[in-house]
Amino acid sequence: MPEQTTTHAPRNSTVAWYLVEMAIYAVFVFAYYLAVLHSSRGWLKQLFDDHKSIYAVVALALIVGQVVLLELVTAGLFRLIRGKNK
Amino acid sequence: MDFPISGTHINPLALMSAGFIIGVLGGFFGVGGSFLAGPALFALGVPMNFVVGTDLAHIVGKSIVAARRHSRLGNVDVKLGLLMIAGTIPGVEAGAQGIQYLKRHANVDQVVALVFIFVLIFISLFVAWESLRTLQLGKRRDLNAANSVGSEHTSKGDVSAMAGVARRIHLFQLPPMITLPRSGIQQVSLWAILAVAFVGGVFSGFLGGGAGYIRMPAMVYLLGVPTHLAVGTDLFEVIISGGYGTLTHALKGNVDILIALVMQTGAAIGAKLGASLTIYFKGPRIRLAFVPLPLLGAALLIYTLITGHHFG
Repeated sequence: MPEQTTTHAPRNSTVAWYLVEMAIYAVFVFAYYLAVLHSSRGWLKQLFDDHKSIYAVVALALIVGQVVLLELVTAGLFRLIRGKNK
Repeated sequence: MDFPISGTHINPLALMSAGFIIGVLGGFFGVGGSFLAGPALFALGVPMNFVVGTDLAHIVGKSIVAARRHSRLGNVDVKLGLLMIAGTIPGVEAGAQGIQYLKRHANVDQVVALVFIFVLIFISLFVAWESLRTLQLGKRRDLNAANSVGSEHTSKGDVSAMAGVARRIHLFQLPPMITLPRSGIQQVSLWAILAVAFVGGVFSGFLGGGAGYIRMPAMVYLLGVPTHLAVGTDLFEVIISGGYGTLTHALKGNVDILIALVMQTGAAIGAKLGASLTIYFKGPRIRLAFVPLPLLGAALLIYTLITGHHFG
């Protein structure tokens, strides 16, 4: 199995930061899930049934857009929490 | 929650949790995680054609973030990545056509699941064999540093039990010959690059995900690309080829983008944890820790196929 390193203090603080981030992130995701994903089911299904080519482009745009957005949110949270901690 | 596009009913928390676990493992081992994402989606009750297309959509997003990170570290050989795209896209299309054929003529769930199981078991056995052999060679090299008997190197000092294969492929002189200075490769046939890319593309289009489990080792062991560059270049290439795969599978009715989006929310935070966990572990033996993961995916598929039970 992988060897273990010996510095414990930075690890503990990393885990603590991570848990705080995760809690805030969970609230964001829940709100996003209710506001966007749940409400977009209908029109996405309609696009899928009636306009496959538009659906394909929208699907790709959505996944890329969400990833960029989530990356910005998680990076922002990371900076905010660690900045305050310092 | 109902996912009307694929006609499935899955608890979104289960999907997010699956994404989270895949994200942790992906962040930790530096892989996309389709070896677990595909079996997990199938176990949650998603039909196999949607598993393939949806996993491709999921992996595109993931590879954008990861490739950006690797690009900053200088781990992307753009020339090699662009050349590989030319081979991967036809491969993805061939794989996607295979799924369409199975949708029309056979039971797509069973056939794809069986191929998946075979591939996962093979990967696991190969990684175990290669890691153990490389460790043995490393020990022998340490004992006889000046003139080692079995230690072989890929470019830029990577140690691999398979480096001799890459050297033989470099001797294959079918023009046009390509120079890849970034990867430290003086000459390699374009056809060798396209062949590796095409095979990876077929796996990607047929089994979903980025097929990094095939393409990445093939780049290291067959083309002789240094491991860190193979990882970054593979991710860069998956952005384009996976994007194409998402489009072609979506056009064929194989992508449930809602499932991909929900799973991605879990994967994003999991990937951060996985990357953070790497500070707890180090050492070349880490590859051995990867060995049980494809087997876990295979076990999940076998269980779902035999029992028909879904966890969603």
